[in-house]
Amino acid sequence: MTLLRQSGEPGTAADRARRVPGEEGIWVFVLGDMTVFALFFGTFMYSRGKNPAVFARDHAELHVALGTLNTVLLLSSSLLVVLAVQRVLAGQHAGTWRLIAAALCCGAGFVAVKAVEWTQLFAARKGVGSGEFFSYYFMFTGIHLLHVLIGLAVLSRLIVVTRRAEFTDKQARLCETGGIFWHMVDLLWVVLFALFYLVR
Amino acid sequence: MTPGIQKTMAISGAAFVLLLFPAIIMTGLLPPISPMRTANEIAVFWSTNTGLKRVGLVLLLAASGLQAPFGALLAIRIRQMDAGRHSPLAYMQLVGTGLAVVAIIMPTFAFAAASYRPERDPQITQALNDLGWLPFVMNWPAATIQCLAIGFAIFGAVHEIWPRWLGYFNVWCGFIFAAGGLVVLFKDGVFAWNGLLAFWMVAVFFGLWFLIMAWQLWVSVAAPEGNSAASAAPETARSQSQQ
Repeated sequence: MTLLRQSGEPGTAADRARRVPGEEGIWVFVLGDMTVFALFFGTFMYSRGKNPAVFARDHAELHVALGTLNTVLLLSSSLLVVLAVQRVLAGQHAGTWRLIAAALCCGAGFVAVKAVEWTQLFAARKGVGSGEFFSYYFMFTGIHLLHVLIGLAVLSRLIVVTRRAEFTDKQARLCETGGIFWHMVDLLWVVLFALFYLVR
Repeated sequence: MTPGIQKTMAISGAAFVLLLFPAIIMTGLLPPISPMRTANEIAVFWSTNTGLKRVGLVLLLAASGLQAPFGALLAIRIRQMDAGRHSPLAYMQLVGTGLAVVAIIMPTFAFAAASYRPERDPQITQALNDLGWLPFVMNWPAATIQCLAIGFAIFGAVHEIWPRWLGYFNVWCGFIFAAGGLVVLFKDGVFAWNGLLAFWMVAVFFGLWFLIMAWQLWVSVAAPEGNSAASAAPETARSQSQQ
């Protein structure tokens, strides 16, 4: 990767085939985060196993439709980022900012839906203190929401970078790294969605 | 600054952890007493084995200071990465280290007060116990400030002294440490001050962070301070990463 950066020229096909996508370092973050979330999911399932009746009752309070909408939003935005990164890696970065901006809008939509959902739950007097299910629900989706907000900041940065005239392999690598983070945010949500909304 | 002093400062980060955890065990803080315990149970806890507990607190206080030389060397590395420019991140790191020393000192005093008069009203001891445990687990900004300063210094480094994965590791640790910040909302479960996520997970990575950073400080001692020599450092880093 440093070799590419130094020469400032696109890597050969053989280079691409061998290398790790994005910056190597981002995988430390991604794998670390996934481990922590795996721990989250494990503790949730453990508590649920000890108290199935209460979890089933509180689970019924969630709106599956809003959760589904959010899943669709994040999956679409991940797809848009895939298309954008593909174009960037193919050397056609011009105009990709529109794809990333569309992904950003989907992400912002996710935040808006989450805000509506939480407002409804708060209105129904459900909060972090309303039993085990809701403390897990608000903590885990809240930590995930923080990831989404960081992801939105990353996407905004990518829009700025891809609109610049100067675009080297370093910027392309940055796009790929940002994309990896956004896919992780998406993947974690898919598991959260299954865990809180679908599992009965 | 001689390499010997730098190495000592690097080692002090590892020494901090190696003194902190035995001191915590001596004081009886590991495993943490549950927030659900009654005032009487907490009073009984603080009035048994008082000698050992108080010596543990003395060691805890001694350990806290070891973060200062370690944190100062971290700030120097940030300046070296940022060579020749104003280094606000280095100052941010120093502020974080200062707060991190206080983050250990403050709860130690509250615990010391809790163990000081076993004969007093249990309600008061419970309040002091809360006053110790809440800041002990809840105080995340001190550590997160340092992690973010180091992480962003590595991302924006002019001179590559440390590998970029260490930057990502630091930013990630910064988030992990924040998991303790919500303990005031819970008395039970994984996010309470004795919970799996708020305490145990943070404690493990807190210890690991000090050991990993002490190791990285140690191996970067050879990285020279002068400008002429500093420019040679990235070259070696590059040739290593190409292999």
